[in-house]
Amino acid sequence: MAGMRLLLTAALLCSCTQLLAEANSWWSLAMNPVQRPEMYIIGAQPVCSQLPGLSPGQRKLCQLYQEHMVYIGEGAKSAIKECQFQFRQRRWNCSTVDNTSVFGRVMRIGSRETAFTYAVSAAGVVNAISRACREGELSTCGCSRTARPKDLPRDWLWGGCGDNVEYGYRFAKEFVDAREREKNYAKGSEEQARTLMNLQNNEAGRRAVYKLADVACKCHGVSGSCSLKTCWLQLADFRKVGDLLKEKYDSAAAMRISRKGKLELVNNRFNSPTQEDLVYIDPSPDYCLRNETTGSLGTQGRLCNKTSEGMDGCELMCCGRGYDQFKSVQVERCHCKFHWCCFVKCKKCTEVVDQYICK
Amino acid sequence: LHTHESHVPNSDITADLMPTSSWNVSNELDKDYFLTLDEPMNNITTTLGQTAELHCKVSGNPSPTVRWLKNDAPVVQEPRRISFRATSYGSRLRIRNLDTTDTGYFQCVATNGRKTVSTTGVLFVKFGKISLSSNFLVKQLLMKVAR
Repeated sequence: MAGMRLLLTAALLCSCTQLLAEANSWWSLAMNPVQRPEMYIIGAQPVCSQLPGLSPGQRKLCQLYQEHMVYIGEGAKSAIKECQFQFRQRRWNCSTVDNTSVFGRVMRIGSRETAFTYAVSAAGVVNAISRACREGELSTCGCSRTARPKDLPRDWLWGGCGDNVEYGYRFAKEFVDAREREKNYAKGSEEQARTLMNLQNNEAGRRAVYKLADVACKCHGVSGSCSLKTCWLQLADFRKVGDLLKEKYDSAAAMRISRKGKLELVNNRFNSPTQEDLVYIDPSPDYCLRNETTGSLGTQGRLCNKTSEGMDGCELMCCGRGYDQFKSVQVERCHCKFHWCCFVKCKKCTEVVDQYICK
Repeated sequence: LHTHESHVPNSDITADLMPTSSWNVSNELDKDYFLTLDEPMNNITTTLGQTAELHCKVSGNPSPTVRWLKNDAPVVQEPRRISFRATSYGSRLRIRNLDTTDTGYFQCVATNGRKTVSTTGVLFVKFGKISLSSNFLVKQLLMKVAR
């Protein structure tokens, strides 16, 4: 009996540590700056073994592509920033909670919000790596080698150094998907459903960057006459990627796992999602109250807009709990004047504004 | 790179293939049973666009099945580019038109029931173009000015 109990506790402990380990993510590269060593030695251990949150396969990739790690970190950082911008007016506002799991337990729920987070971070990596290639920061890639677009006017030159979005896409696929691909879950299991969901959303994120990259041109003619034009492939502003993924978030498809081990629509009256669409498998919690189990932080203390009827309005944001009114003093620069030459002089204006905070 | 042999296979597949009841029945077979790694996997350093072949040299009775992993994840075959197949000596993985993102730790895992052996090789694909020579830097600089 005692032996049984011991075994059971051991098993429980085991599953707990596994859960804890799973909570770690490469997103943590955004929180813990990656050191740039003086020299990269292939297979050298220190940098990669010290980075938290990498899966075994990602650790191997780190050893082989050490110089990429700084940019993966940068990509994760810009993804978090974009996520927080897109969700600034919503109950779940993409808060980071710690340095290892980054977004906390809420990411264990296979919700729409989780779907967006995976997509935007995969997009962040494609973005950062593609640019690093163009800037000549990586030894394994250079300028984009995309063929000249067919619809480019014949007298325009093609051949500026473009963002290498092909390489960025391929590398991000290797690195971001590694964690999901190295697992081997039983067909039709909940874990397999989550793995497939993550893979689909990672792909949607990568494709968003790929799709929005466009031709940029520059004129070379006399006094801007534009008689000569040079063009290249250029990444879109990351805000546009965030906007597109937010649209995909709004139209995300609810899925469930079939017995054959494939994701299928919960409601098959809708169209099947393409590889550019986001999918989720769990309903979202309401994010109203702080909840240790779901990892929701709740909306207590959040600023809300008294006059808005949208998600940022006090009614919805505070989940009907009401709000407190505060007067806050805002200092702004005003009455600015240009003085010859060359500075601008401003006055400081103070204004008392009403602010509302959820109870 | 490194090799290891394990008598306690950690995959479920091997456990399924070896029902405990067959221990006494297959005594005759047991005598001839073996699984050995004949050679550690080759490492390859090459350049963009080339073809690489990694060899997994194993032998056993019954003859083993081989799985290929790249950085711990199963290798996905791509038509006309990435393929693996069983050979007389074990298994061969071939990648044509190499890309720098093909760089990785490639592992073959061979199993024939009771035992599992594996070996790992490193494929390193260099970015072939006049790697970071002055020419390349000059081009980069010119491009930056042009933007």
